[in-house]
Amino acid sequence: MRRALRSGLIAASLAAGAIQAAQADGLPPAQPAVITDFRAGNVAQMAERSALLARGEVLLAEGNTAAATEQLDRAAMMLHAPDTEMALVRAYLQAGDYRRALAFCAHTAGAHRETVAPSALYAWLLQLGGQGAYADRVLAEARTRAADDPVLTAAMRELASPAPRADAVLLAAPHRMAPYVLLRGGDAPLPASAEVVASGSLVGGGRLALVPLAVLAQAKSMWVRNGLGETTTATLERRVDDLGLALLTLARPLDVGSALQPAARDPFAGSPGFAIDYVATPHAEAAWPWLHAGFFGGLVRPDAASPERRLGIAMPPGPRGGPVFDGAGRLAGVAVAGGEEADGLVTITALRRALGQALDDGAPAEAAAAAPGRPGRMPNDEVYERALRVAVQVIVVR
Amino acid sequence: MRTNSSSARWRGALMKIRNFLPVIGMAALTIGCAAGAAPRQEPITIKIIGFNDYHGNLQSPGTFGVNTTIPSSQRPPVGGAEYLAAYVAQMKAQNPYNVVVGAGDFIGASPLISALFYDEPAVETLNKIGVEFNAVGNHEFDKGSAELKRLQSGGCKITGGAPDPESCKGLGSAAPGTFDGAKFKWLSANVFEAATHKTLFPPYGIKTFGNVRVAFIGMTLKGTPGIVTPTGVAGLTFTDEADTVNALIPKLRAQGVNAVVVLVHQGGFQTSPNVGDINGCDGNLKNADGSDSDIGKIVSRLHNAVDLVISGHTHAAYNCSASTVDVKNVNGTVTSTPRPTGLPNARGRLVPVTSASAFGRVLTDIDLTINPVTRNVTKVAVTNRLVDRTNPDATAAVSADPTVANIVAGYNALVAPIAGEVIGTITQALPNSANAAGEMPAGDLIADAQLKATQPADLGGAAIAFMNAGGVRSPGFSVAGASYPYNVTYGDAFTVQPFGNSLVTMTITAQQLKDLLEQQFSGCMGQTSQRVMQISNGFKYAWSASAAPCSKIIDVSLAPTNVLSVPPATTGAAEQIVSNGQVLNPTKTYRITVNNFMANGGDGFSVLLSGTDRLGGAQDIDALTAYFAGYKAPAAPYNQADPVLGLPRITQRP
Repeated sequence: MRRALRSGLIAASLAAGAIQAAQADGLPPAQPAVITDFRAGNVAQMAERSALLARGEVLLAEGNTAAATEQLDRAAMMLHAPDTEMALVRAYLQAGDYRRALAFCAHTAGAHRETVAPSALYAWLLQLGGQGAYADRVLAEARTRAADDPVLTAAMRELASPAPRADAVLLAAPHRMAPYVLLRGGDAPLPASAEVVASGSLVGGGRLALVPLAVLAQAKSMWVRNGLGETTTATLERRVDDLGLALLTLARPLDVGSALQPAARDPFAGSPGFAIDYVATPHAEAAWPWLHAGFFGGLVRPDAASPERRLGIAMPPGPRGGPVFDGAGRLAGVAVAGGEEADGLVTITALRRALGQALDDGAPAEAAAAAPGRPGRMPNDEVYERALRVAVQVIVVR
Repeated sequence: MRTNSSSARWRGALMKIRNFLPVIGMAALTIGCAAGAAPRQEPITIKIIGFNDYHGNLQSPGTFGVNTTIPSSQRPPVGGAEYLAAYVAQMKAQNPYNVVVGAGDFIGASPLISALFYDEPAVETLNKIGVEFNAVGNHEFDKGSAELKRLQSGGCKITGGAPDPESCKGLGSAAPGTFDGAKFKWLSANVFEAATHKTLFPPYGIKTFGNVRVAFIGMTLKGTPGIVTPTGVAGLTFTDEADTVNALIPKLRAQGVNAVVVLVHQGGFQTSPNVGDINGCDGNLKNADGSDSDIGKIVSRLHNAVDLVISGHTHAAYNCSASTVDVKNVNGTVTSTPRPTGLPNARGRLVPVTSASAFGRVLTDIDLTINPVTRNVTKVAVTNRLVDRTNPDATAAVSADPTVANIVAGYNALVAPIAGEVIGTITQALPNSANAAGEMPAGDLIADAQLKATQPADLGGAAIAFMNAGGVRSPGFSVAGASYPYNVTYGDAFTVQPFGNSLVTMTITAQQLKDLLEQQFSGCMGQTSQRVMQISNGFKYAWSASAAPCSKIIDVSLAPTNVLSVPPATTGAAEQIVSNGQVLNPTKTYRITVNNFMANGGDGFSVLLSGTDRLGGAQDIDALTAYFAGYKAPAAPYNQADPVLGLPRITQRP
């Protein structure tokens, strides 16, 4: 009996196949598919493939990523088709492997030009990681193939907005542009009145979350959820009034792995950095975070004793609270709304002063973070993998 | 190339007896002469390294196992251009008779790191890997034949009548701003331009190893037009693969070719219940219903002269040859059993057929042995090998020769969207050319940026910044063809300050300050050439061109200037530090900022080695970016004509 299937064959993906049967989302193909994979005619095998795809999707929704990937791998061996590949892309992302997901989705989009859903998903992933300009190119090209495709149209509409949200058609498999809500065992589903009110940042090895203090007003219940969809309840540990933040304790820690590495010092003005946020929504749907790249600002008043810093990195309007990483992918602080001023940065020094050892608990040593030979600046996609685990949605019921 | 009439199927030792089968034509004459008089010669072995479907995967596509018995957690990370290069180099080192070939789809459907730059990074890394021949695949036509020809011949992509900014980054080409094109030859034996009835690229390439000539015929699948956007294949016709090869055989024979290798972008899958080992040929690649796969159909019609088929397209790995192994997993017990295979050609002879998965995860290592007398292929030994990134020897090789790794890292940096971000605006060009006194417009700006980054007390408390002229790289902030005001991008700034130097603030005395200025001129304190530093706002000096070395500095003054504000402002009366060549208060100290290169005595500035109370700071490019932020819209642009910048700062006297 076969054991785990080789993910290479899987992905395996002919460069060419165009399989009408792959349109599992029920949408018509953008143009008549050209079937080049002889296996599409094998009825029994195609039935088994469909079952594997369905089972894989269920396992993904349950958070059993490894088992889901195995099912999808097997399906991929049976037919070169975009539905399998898009599901695999999401499985990679659910495992936190954004770089693998992005690279494979690039191939899926390029190889399955008979449908535009892979291109829409690819553009979505690109923009998540701060590659908006290239995402526009991908969308523009896809539009030449199927201007009226509902998935493409919805993706283009949302990606053009300052607060993109995946809903309706964008949440359908196989292109689903959001993670599943993953609750820990025994946790009750979130009530319908729950809403995403801000972004937050995990600290303390994933046991604590820093969130904007203002959004907790009148909150009766609180949850935080990372970019993998993992959700847990949270309670107020303490207020940090002078920074406008609150420290929450998570009912169950979220695994940050080695993604959370607080910087030893504040970033220099003008150095590259990455600010992360989630879109606030009136419903508590799961989402992937958005990465914004730019350059750190300087002191708000250079000649003043106060070390208030401008964030410098341009972000769309929003409630803030998400983590900010320096160019080496270390936690450099959290973004805070600047009111009428530009957005601000609560620096890692200020956080360390306020939180003490709790900030660094569970973090790898600085020496380990800076691996020998590593270039000084971490690429966007690698930073995004850290963001998936460190940045959280702040969810409340009022 | 086989020229005999044998129809025996390959059964293990078949190859050993081939030498004795009858041959015709020139080869027969060769055999006759050699058998009668020539001394015994050693067989000639040629190393052929093949792969397919690279798809611009400069970076590792993830983990991969040799077969499905390897648990996911134990599959090593594989691929990546630098490891491909290392593995290829290692294989080539085994045999001077070698060649690296591909079976198509080396570009197209590629990750951002290659696609953003129009797959020029893919081509450049393949050049460095040493590819010599590659068949066109369907994805080679994604952007049309004209673009493919550009990738073959080089030159920058033109978009909208102007050079595309994402083209010709040149990290793996001769120089920045250029694209060499492919140094390997794309082959397209079955792709014809309708207008000329000629093949788009050469149909085959021939490489000579000693006195053996091997031909490589390159083709894509005939069905390419059905799976490529119509504009990609406009004006092209695609012909039958087997017919194409067979028609070329007489021409190759006439050129004295001894062996024929087909590179074809078409493939199959392993289909039996084995475990899909990369060196397996499960089900002999037949379809589940027992019919021939696409690649099987092609091979079944090939001329007997074809010795080897390197295939692709399906992204599957297989090794259908005398080196095939059947790997089975029975109740957790894995067994590996040799089973010589191949796919039957038109004569029924089993021809080796290989494929190396995709994305640079696997390389096919082939030893083609040729009888030196008959020039017949006597053995084809094939092994598919993982490009394993955990192999310490490969890692050591990458470290020893980081050429390809540097190209990958360079493109990875360029792919960051911040490269195109506007960081500030300038009203006029600020080149790195110096006036007679040695002052550069770009240098003034950079020195001010470095002072600003280190002027706050907790960041150094600097009063003066010095920048070595050699570190202000060409062309300065002066972009050819640009109109002004010009928006300076991070990429522009990086071009001027590419070294990643960090700033160092230190304390020196007034005497050391004068010595430092004297050391700019040849003949003073070991200085070997004139190296006039760029200096920050508020600092001024004059030097004498005719004075003797170490006596050139005449007057030096410092007006305290707050450069943290925009515009900068003088905050006190100017202080005279040197007057008529005399240091007025030699022991008075000043905080100065230089880069770490200078701080360590670079460019001959050994005086700086005596600086005390050193404090490390930002990178030079960070300081520059932060400085420009004060001149970014909606703020007014940087205007060097503004008197508050205190120009000129250096005066040359006779």
